[in-house]
Amino acid sequence: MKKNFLPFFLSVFFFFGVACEKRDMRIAQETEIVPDLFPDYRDVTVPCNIAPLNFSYLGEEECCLIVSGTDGETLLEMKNGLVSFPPSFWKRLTGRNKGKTVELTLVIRSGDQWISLKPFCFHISPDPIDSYLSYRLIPPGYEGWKNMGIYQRDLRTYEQVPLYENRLTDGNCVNCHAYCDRDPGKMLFHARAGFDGTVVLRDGEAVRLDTESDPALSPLVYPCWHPSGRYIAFSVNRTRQSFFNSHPDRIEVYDTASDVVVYDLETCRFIRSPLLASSSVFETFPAFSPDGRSLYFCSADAVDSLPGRYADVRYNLCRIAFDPEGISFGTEVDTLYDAASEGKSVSFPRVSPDGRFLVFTLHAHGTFSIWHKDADLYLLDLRTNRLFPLDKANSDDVESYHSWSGNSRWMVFSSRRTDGLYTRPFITYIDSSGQACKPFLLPQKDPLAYYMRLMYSYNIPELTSERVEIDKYKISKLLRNRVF
Amino acid sequence: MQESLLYKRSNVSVDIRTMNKRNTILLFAGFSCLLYFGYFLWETLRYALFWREQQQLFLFDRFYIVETLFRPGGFSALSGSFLVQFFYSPVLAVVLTLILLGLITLLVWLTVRKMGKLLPVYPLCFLPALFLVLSLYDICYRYEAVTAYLFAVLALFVYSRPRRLDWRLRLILGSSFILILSYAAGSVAVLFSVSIFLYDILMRRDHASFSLLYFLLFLLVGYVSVRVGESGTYTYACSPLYYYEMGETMPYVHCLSWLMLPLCLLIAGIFRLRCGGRRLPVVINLALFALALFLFVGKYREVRDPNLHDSYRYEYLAVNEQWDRLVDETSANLHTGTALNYLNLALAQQGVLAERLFNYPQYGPNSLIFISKDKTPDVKLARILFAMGNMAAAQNVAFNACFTAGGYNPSMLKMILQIDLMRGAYPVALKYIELLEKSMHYSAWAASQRKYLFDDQAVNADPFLGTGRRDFPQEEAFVLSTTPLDDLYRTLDANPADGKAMQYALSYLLLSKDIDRLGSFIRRYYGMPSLSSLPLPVQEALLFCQDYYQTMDEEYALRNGLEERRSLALRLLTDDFLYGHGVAGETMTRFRSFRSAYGKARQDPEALSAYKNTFWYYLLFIRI
Repeated sequence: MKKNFLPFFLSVFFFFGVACEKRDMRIAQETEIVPDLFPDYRDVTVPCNIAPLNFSYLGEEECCLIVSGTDGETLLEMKNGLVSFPPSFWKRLTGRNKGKTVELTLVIRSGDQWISLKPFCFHISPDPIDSYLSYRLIPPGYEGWKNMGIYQRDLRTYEQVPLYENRLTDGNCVNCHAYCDRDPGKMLFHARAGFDGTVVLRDGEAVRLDTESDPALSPLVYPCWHPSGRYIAFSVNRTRQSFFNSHPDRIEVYDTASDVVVYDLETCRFIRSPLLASSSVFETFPAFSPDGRSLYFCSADAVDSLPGRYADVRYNLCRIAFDPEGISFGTEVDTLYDAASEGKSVSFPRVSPDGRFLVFTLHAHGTFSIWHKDADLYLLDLRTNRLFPLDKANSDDVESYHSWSGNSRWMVFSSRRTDGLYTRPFITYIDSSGQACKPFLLPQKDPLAYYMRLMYSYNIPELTSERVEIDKYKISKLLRNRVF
Repeated sequence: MQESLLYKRSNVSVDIRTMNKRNTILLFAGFSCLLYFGYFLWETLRYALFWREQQQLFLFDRFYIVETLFRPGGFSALSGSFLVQFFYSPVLAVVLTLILLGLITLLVWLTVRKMGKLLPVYPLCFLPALFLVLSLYDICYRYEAVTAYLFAVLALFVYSRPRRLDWRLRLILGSSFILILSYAAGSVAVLFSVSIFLYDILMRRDHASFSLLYFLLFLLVGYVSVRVGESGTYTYACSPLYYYEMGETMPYVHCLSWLMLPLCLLIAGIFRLRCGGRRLPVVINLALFALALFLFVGKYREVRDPNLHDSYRYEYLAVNEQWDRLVDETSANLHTGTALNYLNLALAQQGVLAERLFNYPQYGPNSLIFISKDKTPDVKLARILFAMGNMAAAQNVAFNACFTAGGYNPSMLKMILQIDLMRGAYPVALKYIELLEKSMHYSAWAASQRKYLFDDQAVNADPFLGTGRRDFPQEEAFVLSTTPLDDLYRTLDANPADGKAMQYALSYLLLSKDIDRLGSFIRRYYGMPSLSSLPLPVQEALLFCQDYYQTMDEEYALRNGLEERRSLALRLLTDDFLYGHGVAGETMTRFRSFRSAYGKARQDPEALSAYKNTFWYYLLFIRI
């Protein structure tokens, strides 16, 4: 008896809990007023496996939300303007509306009446996104920090766990985490400013690369794993930064020298090419193609008198062949996009896992796009060589670092559009023709409160297919050179 | 029978009277000691406590409280932070610290008293609190260490209460305390486990040897904490290092307060077991106390850096904008660059920097602004850059000072917020306003800034924010890439009405002895609201410059490549120019006297003593 009726009672209880007392509410007027929401989730495309997209109505009025999908209409109560989708309701909603559109109508109380605002929708994509996102949280500062760490977020829920926090190694800097083809078992990150080194984790084994003693290899900066998991390409950058007196970009970060090298994890040796280590050229941001036979990178004619001539440094998008079996590079460099000739500069080339698209960040000059308000995402269709901006994903503020999902349909990227300074991760759907859909901000339980109080920037958002399991003790021991 | 009962009663009442009298004496003695101790803290620690308040921000925010509370060591961190928020007032800072230390002492005494009639040990009960004070002089030792200590002695006191508790229950109680303390207060649980072990052994409690398990339990907690990546090292998990700023080397002195509690219990235990005579224990304990005091004084000199303490004091006055007092305090103590920087900042804030520049000893432009090559957070530098109108540089330095602290430096956060309002970066400014509104002390100020959000007109109309907004240079350049003077030039180009920037620019020119550029600077800016009259040292400099080039031999100028400068100065610094730019006749007369005295200086070294407060003296006799 109990067994049979308990789910029924629970369902009834849940139904009344969710549907609240406003079920008999009558809408007196339907308006075309666009609701003011945070985050702006109006008409976004979301993966079917994402956590509930809770949001806040920024008006003062009492409000509630009507959700219309395959299963009909549901009325959700909003407390202090916040709509919190019950997880089971959200799961059912996204599960039963895959490939469809869910309409949401915000209803607000105006005097004694309820009026509805202009409806908007969630497009529920049947393509799932990789389940985990890792990123570094750091104050968007200039030179100093205290607490920072690399964290992992389960995109299906709101759970965030630390992967490694710098307090384990006396507050040093940890950065540039990277995975091999979103595989949580193959990861690396750098540690600096005390207990330096590059930690490489491969199938449960952790090793530390220490290149501090070799100026040609120090410091290793932007990494990219070869799809085989055997090689890692790094840029070696001598990076500096200067502060503008009034420019809205605030900071210019620039390299006074940079090269690209590849590390062989099996022979523990670096592989170099004169084509990637010219003193008259700055080479940076290496990225392997999914087949592992090409290495994309950015290249600029070296400029002296930096930072004075900072605006003259412009990077092109280049490619060189790589032979993983013969462990060698090609003999010539192809320039895929001569951005400099158009007065632009390329950063962060990333090829989609299906090899079809390459997305990079484009800005007026320089290398450190996160401080360039004009930085936008551009997509190069490698099949047709068509290059175009991801207009729907871009904003008036910075778009920068980006990472593809395993099915090449989703991309997470950094943007400063919410307040102009604190970087937040946005997720956009890329359709089969390479067009981006309106992106959505990483969901939180109470996004308005959460993002307003968070004094850290999200840095290097990287998707992984599974949960990353890291033995923090082992890493701390490794970095500290400790025996036990 | 009745008589003997009466006799007994009278004996009891005599005992009670004696006890009451003794307790009153003890209470009085304790209270007197605390008062004296309070005076000592007031004199030596109040600004350091204020500085602690400037390194954190307690937020009345549910997320912040829950997040802090549920992380390891969170309860002591939260309670410490809660108390420190009141330290904006030095009086409250000292009173609250005194109360905490008083409670620690009282709990230690009550625990010791439980061990027997151990009045002679009473002075030793002050030692844990006394040595905790030593730690408070070191700003890297977090205040939560004091609250954690209080929780440990409170737990010890509770643990020592039940006399006839079954040993198994006692073990459960002790173990629970260790686990709770480890999670809520951090490594202080090790101090607690040592203390209760000693207590059990010295009190010969039932199955006391089982208390050794407490050690094992704590070691297990420490081991797990390191293995799960909660603590970086075993030392961190099991020592006062837990409460020390990460990345810094902790001096040994912070272990002393942790040694004092077990020592106190040990001595109490020894006297309990071997009570020989009445006077000997008193003498021994007083001797031990005197020895500890001797150690305290020695260590006090070691840990308390007077220069650092002075800088906390100056910062207190700067935060509270007590510029007159800052001038008085710094000018009485001008043996450090920090004092000079603060003095000149206070003079600039009063608008008399250039006028009174040489009333105090100055040693080059570093006296105005000193920029360290390392990236140490420097609130003083941020304040000076802010006063100079170099908003971008001030924001950079303030941001570092704010976000490298344990939990936001409130006055730096205020500065960043104001600069963001000046920049028109309203969404970020709103973020900081909302953060500060959640604090107790800064809430009203933060709320008052809301009126400027998304309202350019309100910002422009505000005398302070409007000036700051106009200070942003039109000519794009990187800040501090050359000298601060170049940035000052750009600021004044953009906003010649900024009085403080003008004061700093003039003073920088004078202190760098850059008399060549002074004339053209005056020609450009004289008559503007920020330079309606020339400060006396500037008049002196112009007179000197005119005289120098007029008397310079043409051939000498040619030989030394000074021809162009000379001709420029002669062309510019005419008598008419000087008159027209307000160089007073009085100064000219004085200059003639100076020249004459300078001629006699070789014969009479005292001849120039009347001119020590002049630019001329600085130029000729002060090496920079």
